[in-house]
Amino acid sequence: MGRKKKKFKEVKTDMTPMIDVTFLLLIFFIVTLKFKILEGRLDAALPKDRGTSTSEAEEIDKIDILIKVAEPGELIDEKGTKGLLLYEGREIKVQIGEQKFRYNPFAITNPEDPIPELTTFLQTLLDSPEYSVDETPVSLDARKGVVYGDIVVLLDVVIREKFQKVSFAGTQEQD
Amino acid sequence: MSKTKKEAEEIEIDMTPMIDMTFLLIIFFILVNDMSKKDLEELKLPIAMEAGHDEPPERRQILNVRWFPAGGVPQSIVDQYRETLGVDIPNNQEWSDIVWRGQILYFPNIDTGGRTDPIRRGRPDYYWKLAETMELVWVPEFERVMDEKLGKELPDDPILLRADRNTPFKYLQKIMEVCTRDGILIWKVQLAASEDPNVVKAREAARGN
Repeated sequence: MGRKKKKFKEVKTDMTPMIDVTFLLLIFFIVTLKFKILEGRLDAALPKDRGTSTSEAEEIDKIDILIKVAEPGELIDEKGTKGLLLYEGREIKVQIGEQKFRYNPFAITNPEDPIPELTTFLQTLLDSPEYSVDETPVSLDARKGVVYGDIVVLLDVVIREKFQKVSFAGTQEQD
Repeated sequence: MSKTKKEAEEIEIDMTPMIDMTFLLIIFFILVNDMSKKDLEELKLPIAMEAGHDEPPERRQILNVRWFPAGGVPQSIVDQYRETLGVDIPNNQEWSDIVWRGQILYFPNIDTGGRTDPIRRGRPDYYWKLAETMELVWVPEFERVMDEKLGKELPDDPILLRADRNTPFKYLQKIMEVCTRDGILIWKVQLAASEDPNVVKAREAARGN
């Protein structure tokens, strides 16, 4: 009996280093763990006829959206938002032809429909035969002082109306 | 001697289940850990309801735009500049940079080396590094498609722009301007937004049904 036990002991390997390494690996993966962030995207395009091309602009009905800052608001460092800076009292002016709309991108009460007047206006445009979501190009022209958050709110509205050809017009900052 | 050995044997525990568990845990963490997130800087994206859930296309490139108000640059960023570029960030001006895969492709004090902007002639080209990366690294890998109207081939893959919600849009416009330079002509642009948490919940509920 005693002999058998001794023989068994000889083939036994020392597990300690392996366990050490395994634990190190485990700790490494726990520490570097980053869960998938929920992120989405909004598709848009740039005007293709830049550079050296000489294509002529087509005469079609399009929707030019001009975005200006009416009230820049004050940048506040709100505590408890992990260094997230917000604008207080900000107001953005949106202009489509003669129509004007105002909104505050940092104080949206109803995210389902952030700028109801604009939504209604776009829908009335789409009721007329000259405009269609597949053909009508929509271009966003952001002017001085506009921030990324302002644009995304607007782009969100336009994409909700299913416009297929959304592009950014001014690729240079203008007043 | 033999007696003490025997005693030690008695308190020996079987390690196998623990090792099994540990391996299982490791495998779990390997699977859950999303290494592809290395392209994404930590930013506060704006919320958009219509943001299509992002399943990244194969060849898409991601640009992160970071922006800090004057005097508001975190110490970690100051250290990053000192270590990687040997540059000190001035404390009295707003700061913006463009990060691609952890590399800084643009910052306000970048050395232009005498390069001038091809679109606005005569001005120093602060975006040369971004333009070079696009032209030499991205565009050759992008799929190309013939544009009938323009009569030339254009890259058919998108780029994704990510920025804090309070980043001045002019910095993104600058990137778009670089996209339209000759030899680049990238025209598909995506803007990153975080999905509304309620929408995500609703979608998951719908998927469950």
